[in-house]
Amino acid sequence: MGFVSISEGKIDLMAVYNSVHNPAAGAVVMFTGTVRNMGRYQDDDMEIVAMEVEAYSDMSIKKMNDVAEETKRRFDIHDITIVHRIGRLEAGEIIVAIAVSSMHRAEAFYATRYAIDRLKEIVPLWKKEIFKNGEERWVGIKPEG
Amino acid sequence: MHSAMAHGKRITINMRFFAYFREITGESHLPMEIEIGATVDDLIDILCTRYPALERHRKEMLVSVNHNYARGSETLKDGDEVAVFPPLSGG
Repeated sequence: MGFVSISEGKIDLMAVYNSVHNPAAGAVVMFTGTVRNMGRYQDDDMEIVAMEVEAYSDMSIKKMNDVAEETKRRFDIHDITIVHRIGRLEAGEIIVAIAVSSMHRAEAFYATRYAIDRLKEIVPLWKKEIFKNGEERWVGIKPEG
Repeated sequence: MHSAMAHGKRITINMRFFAYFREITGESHLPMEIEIGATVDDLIDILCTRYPALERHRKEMLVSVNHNYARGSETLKDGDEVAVFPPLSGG
């Protein structure tokens, strides 16, 4: 059975895969998002060593369930699982994992893309980048002034 | 005519702050008394007065009431859990 969860420990990718796999599924598509070691704005040469992820746990779970339900309604898929990390992650670690099973591959690919895009839009989660030089910066915050 | 707010009746809401709004306010949970009939927009005015550093983030402020995204015109009720937070950056 597919599920949604917020995880303080490393994401068990095999468990994510197994949760959606079933004998009638011809495809399981998995997406993982990882902590990049480069920032996205100015100062792109600043190396990111870690990321801190904050959730509004109750609402995050509710909205992750909304994403899963919406995705099932829109695409002809069997099942979907969404897991997001919180807490401190080192560069390179997996921050989010999504698995989708379907009879044929196309629907699973489309559905997975939809689910990660919707997660970014509606699930209350925030990332703070921690740089090698000790600076910290919330992702998306407007620069001062 | 007296508005509901003129009667001075008050309700208590449970405020939550997240990410850099939590850092600006120094609070993550905060019970707050507000006038009965107050809307989300009224609450944002109150918060920006109480925490002036929030003012420059007013336009990007997201608000949820009881875990649902809320519009500015929504009237708050006693016991509501109201969260204010910056744009999302998960994934």
